[in-house]
Amino acid sequence: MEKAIRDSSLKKEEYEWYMVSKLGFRNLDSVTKVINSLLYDASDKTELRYLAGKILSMNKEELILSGLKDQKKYDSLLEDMERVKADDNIFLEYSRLADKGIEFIARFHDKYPDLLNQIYLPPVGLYVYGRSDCLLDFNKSFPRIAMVGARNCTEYGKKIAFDLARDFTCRGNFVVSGMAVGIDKAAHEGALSADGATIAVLGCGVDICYPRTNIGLYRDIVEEGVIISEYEAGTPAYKSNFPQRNRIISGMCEATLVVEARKRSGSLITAADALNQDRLVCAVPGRIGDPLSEGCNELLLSGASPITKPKDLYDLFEIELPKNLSLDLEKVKNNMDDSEENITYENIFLERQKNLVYSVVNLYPETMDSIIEKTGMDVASVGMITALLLMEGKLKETSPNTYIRS
Amino acid sequence: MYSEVLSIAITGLTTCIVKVETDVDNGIPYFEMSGCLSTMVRESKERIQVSIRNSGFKLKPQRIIVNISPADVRKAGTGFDLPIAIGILMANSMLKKDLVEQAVFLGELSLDGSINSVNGILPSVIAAKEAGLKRIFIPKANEKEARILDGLEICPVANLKELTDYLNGINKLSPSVEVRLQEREDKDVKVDKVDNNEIRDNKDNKDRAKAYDYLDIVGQKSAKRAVMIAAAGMHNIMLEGAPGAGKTMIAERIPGILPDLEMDEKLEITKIYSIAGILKDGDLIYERPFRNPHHSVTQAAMLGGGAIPRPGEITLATSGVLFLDELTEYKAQILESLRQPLEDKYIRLVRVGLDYVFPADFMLVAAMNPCKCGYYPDRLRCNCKESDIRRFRDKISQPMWDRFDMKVHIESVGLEELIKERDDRDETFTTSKMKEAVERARLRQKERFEIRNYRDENDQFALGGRKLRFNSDMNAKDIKSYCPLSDECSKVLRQAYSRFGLTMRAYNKIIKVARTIADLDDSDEIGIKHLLEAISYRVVTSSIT
Repeated sequence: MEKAIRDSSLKKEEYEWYMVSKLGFRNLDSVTKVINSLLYDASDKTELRYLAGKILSMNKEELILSGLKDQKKYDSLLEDMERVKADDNIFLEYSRLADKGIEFIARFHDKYPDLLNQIYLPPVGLYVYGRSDCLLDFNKSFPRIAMVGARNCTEYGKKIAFDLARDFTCRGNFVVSGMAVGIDKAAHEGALSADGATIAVLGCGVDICYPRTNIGLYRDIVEEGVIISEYEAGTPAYKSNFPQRNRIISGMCEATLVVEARKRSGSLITAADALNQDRLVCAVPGRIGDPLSEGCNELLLSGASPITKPKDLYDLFEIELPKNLSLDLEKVKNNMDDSEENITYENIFLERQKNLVYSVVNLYPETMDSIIEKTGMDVASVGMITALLLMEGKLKETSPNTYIRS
Repeated sequence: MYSEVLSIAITGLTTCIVKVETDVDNGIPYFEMSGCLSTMVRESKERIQVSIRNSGFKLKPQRIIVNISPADVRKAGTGFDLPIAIGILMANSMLKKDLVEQAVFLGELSLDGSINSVNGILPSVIAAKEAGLKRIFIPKANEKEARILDGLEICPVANLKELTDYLNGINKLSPSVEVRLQEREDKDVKVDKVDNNEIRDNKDNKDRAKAYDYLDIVGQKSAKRAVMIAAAGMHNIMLEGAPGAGKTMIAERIPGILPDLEMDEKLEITKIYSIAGILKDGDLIYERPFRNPHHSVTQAAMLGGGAIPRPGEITLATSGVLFLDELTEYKAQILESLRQPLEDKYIRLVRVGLDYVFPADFMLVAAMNPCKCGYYPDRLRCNCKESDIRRFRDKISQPMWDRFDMKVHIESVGLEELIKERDDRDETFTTSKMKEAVERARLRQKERFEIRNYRDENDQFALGGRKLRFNSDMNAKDIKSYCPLSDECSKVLRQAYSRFGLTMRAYNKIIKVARTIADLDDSDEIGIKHLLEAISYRVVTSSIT
């Protein structure tokens, strides 16, 4: 196998990391302990890259010396190390990753999200699919923001997530989320809409799109950003993987922002992870009584920072926003409006009606009947004006005859 | 001895004059019938003989052969009892010939000799008249129905004895008291003339409209306007909304605002109902039918079925409304099978050897919840997964969605509005006002299509051939000729086309609906506002992005 490595263009130290990652989640605790003890001895950063080889060549005594006192643990570790070293298939697997376009990025690699090194039980390596070079930029950016929220969210929540993600990305920040439906999806889409990269952390293999309905988004992220996962390619989406996945989402970011969450939901688990990892937890406040705001409001009550606009978050990190930034954001917005040819009517009366209808529609879906009620206009005109506003892109139809501002 | 008596066979919805030939001869007692008869007809053998005996005739033991020709038309139903009995009596020289010639007999016999009612009287009367026959003998119970059409001698008879006495010139037939009363009234009523048929018409029949009024429904202005537009142009409409929002209430009131029936439509529907045996009191049908089969309906009941197909719900809904409540609960196969009739406005049922073409020209009104719990997009109440919502909607296939011209969302009415409305009733949408508007729009449509319909009727080479009654009947070619769009309108439509990713079919539907809105507005041209309003009713299938 040594020869095979030499023959291929693969680097030996990286393959060794891959073998360590193959020791599995049950040994992660032991492996992390050993790595931490070796960290003390390491003289410089480049040496850290070769840690994996050291670990694999360790014997029982060395393991005990590096702090692994429990016999059960080092026995199982040694046993698994022997198994991994003897298994030729692992090399085959590793050499084929590149064919699939998947990169394996281990700890202490330049592309490995550096904040992950600080959490409890960081993954030994991550499978990366897409534009992996944006992980370099990711490590340089500050603050990095994880956005999470309910899958069954409101249109309002989607819009807020989209807008915030877009604005963060415009400023050059990275938005990390889980590519689930609902808030996650809106956050990724917002980031992509600002022509920026975004990072999706999956609970399955990176070559698997879960949920399947997000296939369009998945392709876009592969194109513009990266998909990462702790699980090897081909791993199906097991339910039990998701809580572990959540620790990565919060772990690689300075701040975790919860947009909409029910009581006792997965988003709150991510928020709890963020707290345990000593990261900032923020939440978007919601209306009292909305089941989808209960989680966020609960977080706020227990001390999370409320976020109502991008600036709120930057203030927390004491980042001065340059004056021209707000203009940039405006520009993006305008660009979006201008992306389609608008119909213009000289009719002033029509303009007035349009303004009237637009003024009563807000971020919560408004039905046609309530617009009729609020404006006092007749049904035919409301139908006509809403259709007009829809075509101008000022309104969005969330379901038939139900509108929100877009 | 040999005799011939005429009767009428109904297969599917078509009628055929048949000859009942009877031959009696001395020999070993024997009774045989031939001529493609169904069991229903075959088993009448004993009944007829007993009935004849109980009417006071003594038949000597003899060989009886009955043949009903043409022998390639399948004969079903119970109406052949009477002609066979008359044939046997004639062959035994017990009846005078004069009145039997040029006459059609229909009726089911009882053992005691009385004549029971049968289905399909109206189409039989029409067939007899078209064949140029002089008189038709029918069961007394069917008299009212038979008299819908005048122009040939209707002879209602209560029992075999009465009939034979009449044929032998012993007594005369007297019309029933009810009919005599009716005749006295009829002198005051002007008679409509359509296709040279004189038809009795009763204008005052608005019971349903009285019982169900749109005034009863609080709020829901947008839905009310949408169904008004749908009714005016007979557009297929989908009502989507939360449980308890009032979808069914709104749909149930549609018959009250539907445009009046034209005389030929009335006859057509009455014929169908007569054959199906569900004609009430034998009266002409004045109201557009409203059929709402439960979602457990079988395919045969929906489309028409049986060895000789009986009309199904879609045929019974012809010229009226087929309302499918809880559309997602119907079996997918049944919904898909509606696609062809929705497009062609008829259904062709193929049985071995024969096609049966039934009309199926109905307006489809469907109601459904937006998701399993019914509250989407109100996320505060709906916690359905997006995938579940999608799965719920996917029960209706895309081609099925395409068959709807309009879609409207119905939201539950809030408590405040309920209370407000109780004190201060909003009377912009009442059944009578809506009906008035619909009727105006119907007349405009009638005027529009009159010339073309006349031309098509008188031109055997005319393409299409189907009569245009409503805007929804227009095909792509008709849209071009009847719905010219101004430059501004086409610009808006082009924009909508690209913005909403419309299909060509949806594009045409918007124009058709806009035409109806313009008709309601008494406008000859489709304006921007009509078009935009039509766009707001377009069918959006997946709102989940």
